[in-house]
Amino acid sequence: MTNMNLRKKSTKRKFKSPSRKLSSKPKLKAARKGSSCSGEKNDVSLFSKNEESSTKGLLNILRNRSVNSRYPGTSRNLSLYISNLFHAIENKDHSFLSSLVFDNLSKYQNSNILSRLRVSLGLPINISSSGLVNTKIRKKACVKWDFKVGETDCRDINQVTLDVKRTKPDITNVEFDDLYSQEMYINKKQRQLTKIISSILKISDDLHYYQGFNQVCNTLMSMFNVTSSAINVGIMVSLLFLRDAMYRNFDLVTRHLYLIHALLKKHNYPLFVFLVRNEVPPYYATSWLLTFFSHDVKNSQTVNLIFDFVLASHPSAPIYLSYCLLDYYSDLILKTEHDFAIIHSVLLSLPSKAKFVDWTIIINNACSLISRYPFEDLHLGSNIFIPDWSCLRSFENTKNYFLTFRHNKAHVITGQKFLKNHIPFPVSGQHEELSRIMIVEKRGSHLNTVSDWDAVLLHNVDNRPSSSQKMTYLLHKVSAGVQIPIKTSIFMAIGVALTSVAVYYYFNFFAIGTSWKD
Amino acid sequence: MYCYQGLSLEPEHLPPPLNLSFPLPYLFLFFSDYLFKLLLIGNSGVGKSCLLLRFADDTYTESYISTIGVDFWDTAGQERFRTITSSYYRGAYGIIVVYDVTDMESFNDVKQWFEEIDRYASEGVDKLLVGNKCDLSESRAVDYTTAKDFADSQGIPFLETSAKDSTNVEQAFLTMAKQIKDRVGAPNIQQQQDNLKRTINVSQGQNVNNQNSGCC
Repeated sequence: MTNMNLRKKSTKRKFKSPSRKLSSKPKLKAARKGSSCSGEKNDVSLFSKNEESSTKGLLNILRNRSVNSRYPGTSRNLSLYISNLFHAIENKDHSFLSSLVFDNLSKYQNSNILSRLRVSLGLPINISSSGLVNTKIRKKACVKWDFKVGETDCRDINQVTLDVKRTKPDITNVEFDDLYSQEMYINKKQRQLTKIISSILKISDDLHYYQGFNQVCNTLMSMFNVTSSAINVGIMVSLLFLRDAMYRNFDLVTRHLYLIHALLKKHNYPLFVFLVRNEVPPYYATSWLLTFFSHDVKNSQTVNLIFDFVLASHPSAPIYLSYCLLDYYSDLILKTEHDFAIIHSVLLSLPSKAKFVDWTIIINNACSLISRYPFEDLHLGSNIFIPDWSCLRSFENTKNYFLTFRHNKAHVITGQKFLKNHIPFPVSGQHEELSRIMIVEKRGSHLNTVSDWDAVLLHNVDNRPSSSQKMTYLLHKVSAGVQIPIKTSIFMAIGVALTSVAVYYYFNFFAIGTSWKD
Repeated sequence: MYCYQGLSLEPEHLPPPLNLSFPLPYLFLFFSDYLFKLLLIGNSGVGKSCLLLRFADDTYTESYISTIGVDFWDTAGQERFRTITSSYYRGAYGIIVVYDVTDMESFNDVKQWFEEIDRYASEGVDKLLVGNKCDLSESRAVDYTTAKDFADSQGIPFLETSAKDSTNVEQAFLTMAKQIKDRVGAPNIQQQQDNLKRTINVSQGQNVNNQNSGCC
């Protein structure tokens, strides 16, 4: 025991020593360069000055000093890093900012923002570990097991071959002598991709292929290089994160999509009203949720970052991300013309419009939003019914099974029985039941009659909209030429009647001597 | 400590060069009288996106990325996406059903697609049947006459196109546009036409290429 204690102490010393060494450097440099950046005090003042800057999200995290105490060795490093970041943000030097963030992500795992953030927020660091971006770290983190399931054939193989032909593997880091070799490389990668997809689909009868899953697998392939580890992670991703999309139909996916509008309603009401008024359904975000933005974002660096974030947090992370993306560009959206086609195309272009730096901010916003308003609150707050066998609600339980593999090193999963026991696939009939249940009341009884999703969102039990919010929505509806519900029209009729009676009595009793001509 | 100062003349720091192609669709918009939303539907992989790309940009790629959901009124073909795509039928003035000439199954499903239209689209929407990939004459599976007979029985115009060598592509979109224009611009619905002009003429700035009309 004593030995252990000694060892612990010695490691602590090791951790502390670099900070002392480093602490002398910035002071010296600061003295040379004058007032521009001089140690910690200046940093703090800078933060207080620019609290209302547009890059709030990024700074909020960096300001969180409690994180530093957990990593004593890098506290000084971090303050340096913060001041650098701050300068880059202030000068709007995007290229330098991205290089800073990216270097930091790949070089120092301990001081990487997202992992620190995740630790400070208590989010699980499970699958792709804290590493982010670096493939070596990812490989270490991913669960390894032998999947011995060959019972079912790949059902949707026709669709898979169609889509694999159309997916372009990542060739940014590879150099080619000529076009022929490039073609050969792409063919090889596409064969690899088919293998990955088909072996994932072979796991269970309940997993179906959808257009867009090829994009996810393509990204995983470029992230992990080796086919076997890509398959391992792909199995986990499809079972834990994309299970709802891989059921027989997209019933659950539409629910997920409307959760974005529920978030908008809670946190950005003007934008919500704008979208509802112009009758824009949230289907613009279909590819965002189904492919974790890999269909829309062209930059592979950004895609990797998003994947790391999503895989390290929660299946609902894409929902939060798409809300934060909308929120980030809400001014731009509100300025567009009041036509649902135009709005739809503007919304579709948002993911490719955001650059790497924008995405880091959006991700950080999403991260803090998840901690403030986790999925359980979102589900209760919005009236959209999501069954308990959905991957969103059963994530914590199912994740634990996967984590036990990692600790026990018992890596063999045998057959579909195992999956049926540990992953809550819907029993027959549950799907049909779902189509009837749209919203859930607070008591737990199901309301079946409502068919309009907007009505579902407006009919909120937990956080009813304030009267002013209702009024604005009504006014918008009226101006858009939509019929007003009977209940409100009755109230309005009563109001009109009362006022007319009042006017009548006024002229009869109080204004008798007067005439219109006077 | 880091201090980043001074000017740099690297290309990424300079403002982006003026994009001259940007105002062109808007200019076109200015001179056109009508703007209609067209929707492309059909089985997966029949070349809906390629048709649109050929008409809009006059380009062609062998490996065009698959559509997920609804992209510029070009829809995903897989069956499970129908719940999502069908909600866009209502806003469309004309719907083009595309099938693959070399794929019999895609032609057999055309009937289903028309049923979908009857179920979800607004009444009196204009339809057009298009058989794509007609350049692949060797592996043809659907005859012109069978498709033509089917289209005639339904009372729908029919065309065979090829996005690869751009035969009939423009023709297809223009017949669709003409059809809608004849319907909307009929004299007994003068008022409706005025309304349409007022509300829709200036809209559709982003994807003007696939919803144009006023060719005459």
